[in-house]
Amino acid sequence: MTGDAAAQTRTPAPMRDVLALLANLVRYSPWHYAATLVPQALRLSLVLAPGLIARAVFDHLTQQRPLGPDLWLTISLFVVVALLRVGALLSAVYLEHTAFFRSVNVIRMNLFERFMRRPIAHQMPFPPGEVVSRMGLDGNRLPFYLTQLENIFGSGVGATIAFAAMASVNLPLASLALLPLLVSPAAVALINYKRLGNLRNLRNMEGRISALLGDAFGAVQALQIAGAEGRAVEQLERLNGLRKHYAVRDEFMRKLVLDSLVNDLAMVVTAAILVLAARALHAGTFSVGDFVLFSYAAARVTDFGYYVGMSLSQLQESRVAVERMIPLLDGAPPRWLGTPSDWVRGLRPGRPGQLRRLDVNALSHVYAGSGRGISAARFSIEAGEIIVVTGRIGSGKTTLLRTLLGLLPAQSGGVFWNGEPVAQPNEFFVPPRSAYTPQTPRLFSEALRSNILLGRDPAAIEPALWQAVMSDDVRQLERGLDTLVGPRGVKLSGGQLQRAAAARMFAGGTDLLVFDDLSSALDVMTEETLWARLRERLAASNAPGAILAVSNRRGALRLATRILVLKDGEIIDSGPLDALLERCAEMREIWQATGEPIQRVEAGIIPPHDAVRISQLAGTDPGRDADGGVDRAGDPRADQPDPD
Amino acid sequence: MSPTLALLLRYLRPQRGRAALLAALVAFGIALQLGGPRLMQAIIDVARAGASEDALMGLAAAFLAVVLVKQVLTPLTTWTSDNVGWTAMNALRADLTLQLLRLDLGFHNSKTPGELIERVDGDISQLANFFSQFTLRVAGNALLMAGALVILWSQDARLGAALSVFALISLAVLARLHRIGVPYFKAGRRAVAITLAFIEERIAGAEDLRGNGGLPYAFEQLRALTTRDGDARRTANTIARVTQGVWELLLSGGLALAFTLGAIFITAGSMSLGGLYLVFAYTNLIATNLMQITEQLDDFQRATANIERTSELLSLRSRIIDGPRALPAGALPVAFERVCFEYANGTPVLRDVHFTLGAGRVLGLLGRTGSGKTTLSRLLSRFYDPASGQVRLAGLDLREVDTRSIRARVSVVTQEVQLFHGTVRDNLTFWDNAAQGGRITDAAILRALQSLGLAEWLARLPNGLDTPIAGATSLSAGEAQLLALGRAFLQDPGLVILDEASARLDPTTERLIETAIDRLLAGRTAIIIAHRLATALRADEILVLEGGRVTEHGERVALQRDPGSRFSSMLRTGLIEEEGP
Repeated sequence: MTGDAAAQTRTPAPMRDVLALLANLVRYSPWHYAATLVPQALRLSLVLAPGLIARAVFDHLTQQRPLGPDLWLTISLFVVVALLRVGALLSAVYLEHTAFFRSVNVIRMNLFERFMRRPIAHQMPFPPGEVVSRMGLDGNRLPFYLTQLENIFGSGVGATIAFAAMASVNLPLASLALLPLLVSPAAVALINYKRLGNLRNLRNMEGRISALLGDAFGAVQALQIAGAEGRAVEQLERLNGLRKHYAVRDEFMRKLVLDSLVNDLAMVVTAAILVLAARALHAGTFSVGDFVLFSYAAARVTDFGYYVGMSLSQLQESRVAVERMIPLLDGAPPRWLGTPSDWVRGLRPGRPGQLRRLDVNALSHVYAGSGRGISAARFSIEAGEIIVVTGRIGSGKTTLLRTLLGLLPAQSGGVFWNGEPVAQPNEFFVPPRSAYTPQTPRLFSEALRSNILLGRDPAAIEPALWQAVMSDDVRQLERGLDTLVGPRGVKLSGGQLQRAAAARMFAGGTDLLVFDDLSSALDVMTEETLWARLRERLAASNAPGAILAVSNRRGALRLATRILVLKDGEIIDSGPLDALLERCAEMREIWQATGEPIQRVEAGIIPPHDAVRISQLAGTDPGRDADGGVDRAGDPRADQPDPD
Repeated sequence: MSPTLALLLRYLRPQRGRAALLAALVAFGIALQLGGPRLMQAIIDVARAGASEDALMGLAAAFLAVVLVKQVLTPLTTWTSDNVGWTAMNALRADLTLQLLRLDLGFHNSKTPGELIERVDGDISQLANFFSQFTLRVAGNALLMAGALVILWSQDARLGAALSVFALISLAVLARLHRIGVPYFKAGRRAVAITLAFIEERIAGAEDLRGNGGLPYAFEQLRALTTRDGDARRTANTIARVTQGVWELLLSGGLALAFTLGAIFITAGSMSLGGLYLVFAYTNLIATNLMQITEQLDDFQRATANIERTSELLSLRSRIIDGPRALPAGALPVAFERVCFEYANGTPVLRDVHFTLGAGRVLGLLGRTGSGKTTLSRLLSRFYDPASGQVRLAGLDLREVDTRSIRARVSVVTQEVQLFHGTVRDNLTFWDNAAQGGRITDAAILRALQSLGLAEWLARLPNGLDTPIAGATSLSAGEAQLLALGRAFLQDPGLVILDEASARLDPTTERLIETAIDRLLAGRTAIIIAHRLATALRADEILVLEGGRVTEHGERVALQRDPGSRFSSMLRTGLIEEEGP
């Protein structure tokens, strides 16, 4: 099962992608990375200093020279060197993290931007928890690799100096110290090959755990209602167990090579060198000071081998990280992640000319799995119109809105704004052109005010609240607009949440308002007021804009200038309510279903005099509307008893 | 006992066997580390003394043997220690997750899932080393130092004594420094959690943000958050390294001290050159291990920060305290006795609510948005306790009842359906299905779906109950509602609360499942919260809430006939509003 999941999410990354991305990261912060090299080099080149100082002291003592200030000075160098090394250490850590976080942040911003702008907003490749894991963990691997590369540089400097010092004493012995350098890359390359599959499984499991936790905490109320907290934890334990398996294996393979093979091999070589050196010492061709220096310096050369091996091993981790980020990139090459872009590019468009007419031409989107969706939708909206899309569950209402707005890719057909084709609907349909409230609107855990404004002009808030019939609610909230709404807006009631989302839509001052089932949690009176105000908005303005809404509720259907009836993904009819009720059976059925209480009224549950009044009143239209709007009135015939 | 130590013991105790093996391996490794330089000293002294080649080669062979044994030991130690660490972390993760999932909604309404993921998984991941290696490494290095000092004492008591004093002073200094980075690491972890929580929320609400032009704002916010997060972690990492810096300085001081004394003693003829080499080698050994020790110390500060964060969560107690009793089987009668309730902010939501509902009766709960209907249902499933008064089911005050029993007997179908990424079967049963060794069989699931009219939908799914919910085959909001009803069916409750359950269903589908709801309600007590009056007509009784007060309660038919009742006026105005003035 885990293999399947791994196969699903794997997009193999060629090493050239990884290297191109690394190069771009360096190109983005060249001076930051370069600056880190200075203290690194200083620190690691001083690594040999204690050995040299010790040799000087040993030679001094071997030659039985008298104690004196020169010796004390030499010994005090131990502390001087340490001070320099510590200073270099702290600057290196600081600079290294500066470069690291610059790279991490540019990757994170790019991933976030790319992800948020991809057309398929709804069908995420992974649950949010897993996306977070990919952005948070995998996005860090490459910058980490770069900072570790600096160790190669630093230890390379240290190794060169150490080798030079040893070579000046005895070249053949010194050359022996280079042996591990040849072995370690080969050993790491060998094990890397074996590590790759396991590493993928490990990362895959990390993502799944993150996803499970996100789901569990997101659905905590449902879990508690079902008393399923313990079972959710069992799921977690199962995945955790698998992750442990992969993690321990990965660590073992890595340590086997790096610590055991590379590092300890280096120790064997060091030991061999020392044994040979001891013979030379025995033969008198080697001083004790030289011996001490060798014992110290050989390890520095082999350190370099260790870091080279380590870096090769981390390159493999980087590769898996790139593989995991590719699905979030929506087709962009991975190297693109390393370069900052203008993140708000195209997101604040000017007004392209008031909406006069929107044409939707043969628009289709069919879901691959279920075969459902919409096919060849064709309709138009003129300024001042209220278009209501109606249809049964699963008839494609939401899909229609999403495809129009470019949230789902159109498989055929297109959208025309004032006659001009819209090339990239997902970039085009944003405020001030249009605003959209989805079926299950989400707020963010911030203050109500910033949820509605989203960084826009604060003056927009009062009219937006009024339009959304929310002003009274805000006054009743203890902290008013400063109320923190909690994750996903949970601290508001269902109705408040929907109206806050509506206010957010109204605050944009847009031409085209698109909303999906906006009033499902509102009581009848609030809903009526909301629709009435919407209508006033259209009527009062000389640049009216238009409304496209999904709804099956009578209030909305009655206000619509035109209704589109969807059935099995096709617009089977459209027109004003009364005409549709006359000629469209599907419309009649939907209408009658909404009118159930009235049927019951007429079946005698409600006193007859009320029923009479209701059917009389059904034909009238709200008096506020200036243009009379008789054509929009409900058809009294629809309220007649159902034949059955 | 410090919370850090307590946590360590709690999660290592269940695996003491492995932990002991690990300790033995680490101790053996340290012995080998100490042995190497000792052999080297012998080589120097033997070579200078002009002893035979054979003696020299013997010592060299012994040195090689030590190195080779270490090579075998290293991966074995790694394997054992990783197992110990991961086992402990996983146990802690499971405990913490269970604890968090059981906390009251007051907690969850203030924490985003993204933040909690980071705290359960991210924070604890940083404890791997703490659980497996920290104590051993620190203890091991303490042993190493002690061993080195003992050997030095045996070589030269004066040198041994001087360096021992120096070591004690150094330890005292380090003891004061070992927590220097902890508050900064905590701040850093907090910043990370906030950033990741932000990302998680925005990803889940991508459509909302995009459709309303919120993306530029979100990008600016994320940029500010990542910058702050990076700065905080840079500070933490730099400050934590101060400890390592001080260590290095102390060691160099120790080395200078040893060489000064050594020079004096050697010149005076009371010490061999090999002896001084031994001091140098051991200091280097400690210096090499210093790298490890400081990594450990760095890690320890990080771990302490995370343990403190984790302990804060572990010490939280749900405000809901379980009682000893269980609810009986069958339909449950409901009674509210002078119940008042307010959320944390102090605005009263329910005021003196007092009513009873007989077993098997259906109550229609009406009121405008914000009148307290949802709160009333939350008190019944005991997500909250009343501020005063009592909520009783089957005559029992809910505070006396085990929450598990309440959750098993009271089923709530909310407007927002919480689904998770798993199969349809897992989503319906919350993993309590026969396929996973649980209670509910596929046959029972199919029966429930059938009665909901979902049989056709199920038949269309590519893998039936095994179809994963997520991505392309994801449910429409209406289907999600149906699935939530399916969950309630499977639970077999004694009280059903339908909170706006039909809000998302289109009228056609709603009609389709009406029979199913009838079947669900048969033989059960039910409270139906509906903004739509149509739904209320299913009720036996009607209760109207206004501003948290009961303004009307009675038989539905009687209220409907009484033109003066609020219900009949709501029926009228509701419809009249809908039709126009």
